[in-house]
Amino acid sequence: MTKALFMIFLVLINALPAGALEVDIDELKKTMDREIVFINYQGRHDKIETAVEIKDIGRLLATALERDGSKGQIFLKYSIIRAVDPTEEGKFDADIISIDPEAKVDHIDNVRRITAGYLEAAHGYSEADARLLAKFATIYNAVFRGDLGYFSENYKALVLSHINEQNAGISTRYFEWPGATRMLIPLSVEEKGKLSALITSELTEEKVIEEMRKQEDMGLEDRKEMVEFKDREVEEKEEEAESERKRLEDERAKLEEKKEELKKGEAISEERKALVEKERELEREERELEKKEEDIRKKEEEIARERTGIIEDERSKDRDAELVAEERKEAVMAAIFADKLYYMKVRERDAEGYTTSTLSIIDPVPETIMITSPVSHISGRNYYFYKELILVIAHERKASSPAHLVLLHPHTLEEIGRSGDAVYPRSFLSFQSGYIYAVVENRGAFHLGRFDEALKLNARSEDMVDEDSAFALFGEKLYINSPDGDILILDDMDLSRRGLIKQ
Amino acid sequence: MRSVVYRIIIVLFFLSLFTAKLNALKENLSDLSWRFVTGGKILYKPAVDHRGIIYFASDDRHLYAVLPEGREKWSFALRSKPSSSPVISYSGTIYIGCVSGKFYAVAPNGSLRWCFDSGSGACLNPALGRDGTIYLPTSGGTLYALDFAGNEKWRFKARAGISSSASIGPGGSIYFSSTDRRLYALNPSGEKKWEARMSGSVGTPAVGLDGNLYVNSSGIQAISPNGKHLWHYSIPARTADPVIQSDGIIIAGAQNARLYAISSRGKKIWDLYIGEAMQSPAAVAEDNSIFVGTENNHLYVVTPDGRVQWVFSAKRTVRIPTITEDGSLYFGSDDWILYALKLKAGGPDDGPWPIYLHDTQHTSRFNGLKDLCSPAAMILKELAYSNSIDLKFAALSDIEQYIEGRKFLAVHVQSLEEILAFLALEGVTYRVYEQGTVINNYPQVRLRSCEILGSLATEGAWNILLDVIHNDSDSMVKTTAVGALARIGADVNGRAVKTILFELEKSSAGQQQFIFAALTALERIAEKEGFRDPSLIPHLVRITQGNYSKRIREQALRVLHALAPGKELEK
Repeated sequence: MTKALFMIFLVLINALPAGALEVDIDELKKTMDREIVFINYQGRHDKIETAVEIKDIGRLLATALERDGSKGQIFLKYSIIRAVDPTEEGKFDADIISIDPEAKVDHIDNVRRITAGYLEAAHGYSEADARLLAKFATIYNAVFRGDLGYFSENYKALVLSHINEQNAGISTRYFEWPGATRMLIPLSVEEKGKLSALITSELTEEKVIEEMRKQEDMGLEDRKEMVEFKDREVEEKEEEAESERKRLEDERAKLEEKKEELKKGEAISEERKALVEKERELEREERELEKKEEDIRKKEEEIARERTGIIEDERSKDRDAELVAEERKEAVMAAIFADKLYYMKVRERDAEGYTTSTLSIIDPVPETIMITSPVSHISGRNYYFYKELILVIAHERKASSPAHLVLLHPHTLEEIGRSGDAVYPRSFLSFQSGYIYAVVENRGAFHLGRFDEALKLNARSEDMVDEDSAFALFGEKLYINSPDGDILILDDMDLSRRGLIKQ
Repeated sequence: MRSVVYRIIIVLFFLSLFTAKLNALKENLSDLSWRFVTGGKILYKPAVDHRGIIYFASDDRHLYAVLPEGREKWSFALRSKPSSSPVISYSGTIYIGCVSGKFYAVAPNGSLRWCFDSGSGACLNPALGRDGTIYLPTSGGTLYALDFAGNEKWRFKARAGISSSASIGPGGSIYFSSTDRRLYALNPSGEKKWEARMSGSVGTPAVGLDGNLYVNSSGIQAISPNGKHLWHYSIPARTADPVIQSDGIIIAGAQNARLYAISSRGKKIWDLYIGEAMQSPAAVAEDNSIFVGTENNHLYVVTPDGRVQWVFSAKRTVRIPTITEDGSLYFGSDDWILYALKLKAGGPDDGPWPIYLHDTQHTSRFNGLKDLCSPAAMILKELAYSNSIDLKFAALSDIEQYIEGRKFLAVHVQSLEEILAFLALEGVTYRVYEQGTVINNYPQVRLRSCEILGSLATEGAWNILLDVIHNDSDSMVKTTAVGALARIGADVNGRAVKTILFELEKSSAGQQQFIFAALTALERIAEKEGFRDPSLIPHLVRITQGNYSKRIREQALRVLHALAPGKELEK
């Protein structure tokens, strides 16, 4: 049995995508201050319940609430309170889901399952919609955890009477959930089964979206789903408003007709009174409809804003990807080019410890050497991407023979150009305006040379230089050590002396 | 218990192999050229015109036009969710249907040409007759025939709601299906030819080289052009609409996660278990590679012999792909993104129905655009290229009536652009000399051509007008060209502003009419495009202070305000 479980483990590991990482709890703790990251229990469980069983907890909560009308509890672990007060206006009612002290829930996914089960059963949402709303509800309640200031601004007194600073919302740490979690589900009092029973605008409050944007994927897919959900809400309300508008227009037409009739004939005062009453009623309904239509317009504006935010975030990902691609292109050391890994392998060391190397392309999958350059004595361990080619300093035949600048084809690694002039094998190289600066060697004397892209030497310093010197280009000047240890200042074009900094 | 555990191990093992295989395939992706993000799901197939401009609709209630390099050209507000793919007419007008029952005809510059309100439910994918007639099916069960100007010619009421796009066969017969499992055939004048009761729900028919219909209904069924049932290849799952390769092989994916290749005689050639349900029709490329999207967010590329070649991942369901002549592949996804991939597989296959809705312009007609090498185009060219100014004007008059919706010509917009380019530049860049004198200089023809190009409003017309402004020395022609350019409006890459600015700098104070027209054009462009090119400002300021008429100076000031309202101008 143990063997079998071990095999399952191995297979599961194999099934994971190559990029999968383990959750680093320490790292998560570091980011706690700036980001909603739920910390879930990672250890062994004595008893494992299925996702369906966990979701059923939510459904049972809904049943318990239905029985009582204002509250319910199940297994002495989870409670639900319906805090609806029709006498107070302008603020939200709420369903409050409480995780009680005896509850053992220790993963945010399970809190979401319970919430989704509740929303499905109590408010008639579809499975997918309930799952989405539950996710937003948990993030919303984590963002405003313990923020009584915020809650009191937005929720009715009855709702506030059920929460305090310690239990309002949900903590991001699973061990703080039992006995200290009261999640608010903002409600509008409408019929069951209507998409807008739950106030989605509140769940997608600016801070909630900001939190989601901190996620690696900026919460984009969830945000898109929420926009689509709101879109359906609006469509449903628009349909209602449209049929209501038609009904009221018909009523208005009938009323006007009646009024005309009354004008013509001698009307009984009771009839007139009834007509006036009817007109008042109609006007009230028309005002209500206008208010509804205004709400729809506001909701549409809200959706448009959220769409724009999502589009901008998606496009920023493209820009980031472009930047990364650009940086990658500029990388001069070991890099993957066209899915290939360039690798410099040490070939030999001379008595002084200097190395020569060979350059190969390795296919990372399935880790084989695809090709090795025929240029077999590359000095040192460095290669450079230069004008979409690869530049190295390589010896002619063996490590002791003169070295030259050599350009290699990026795919075949074959030599496609070589400087006529010898360079110091371990020369520092620098690049500016398409030119290559390197120390050139002539019978034991070292000068600074400037090569064009065809590796032709088109300038050489009069002054001798320290062959191991690094050099720096600044504006039109180049700084390099003289053999005496002074710093020579050379013209970057003709390499004539422009100054000297004495040691 | 032990056997259960071993079963789980076996399942997981194969799952791991599949995942590993998928990951390896994903490493081998073809290049993603670009992505275009919208504000809603992209459920319908993108259409592509002869210049590579991509038109598609998003659930954010907009029709988009995107340039081949991935930049937005314009967007058109639909005020309702789309319910069809865009269809590009021969004159370049883009048709799109909506859930609200509205059917829009949008000019190539994004302005509304006309709108037809079906009042019979959502407008589904229409088919385009050879004479420009639009056969528009609606979910309410009525198929409308509209002429190219949007006027109703006739209507046909099916027994139930229509459930498919319309397709047109070789003889012009119109085919579509309804929710009560019927397949209908109408003749081009709207009379019913036949109706066939099918064994399952019916999709959109594809028409084979033999004129037979291949349609999804409990698998794939073949029906002859006179309604006779030929064969039935049963698939035990909901099947996507089929496409047909050049060798007659029918390709369709299904909800059971299998992709099928079926011969034109109804025999299975191969089937491939992909492991992901397919609802959308596939597309076949020139090298017979098959591209198909799945509900598990992937686009699969399958070799002609039925092996997975590579996989591309989106974030949500991948919808119907379209392949263009230059080897680009475009598809939308439920993740709100239009993806553009560069293929190594070439353009679309040369088959009778290689992609859904037949071709990239979505004519849904057998032979589609191939039918358009018509006598009308040849006659028009003969008139335009003649030496007679009267015949040239006759050609222009025909074209104008066509664009204005008064007279249909079976001429593709590409031919119109070709003819208008010739007439607008004849005597300027196309010169005929006789004894050292240009003998084909017709400024009035050029002027008239420019006016018509402004109405044509295509990307091609735009480019021709820029050429005229740049090359023509006749002030009146230039003035007309600039005015026409302003009517088209958008200047996505800033080329028009640069050209106009250059010509303004060259112009003398005497060319007041041209300067005024140029400034008006700049104002129109600035209204559409906003602040783009700050190098314009000093030049405009010079005009406001220069030796020009009051009208011109005021116009320059208006352009300045349009370019940089408020604080930007102060800067």
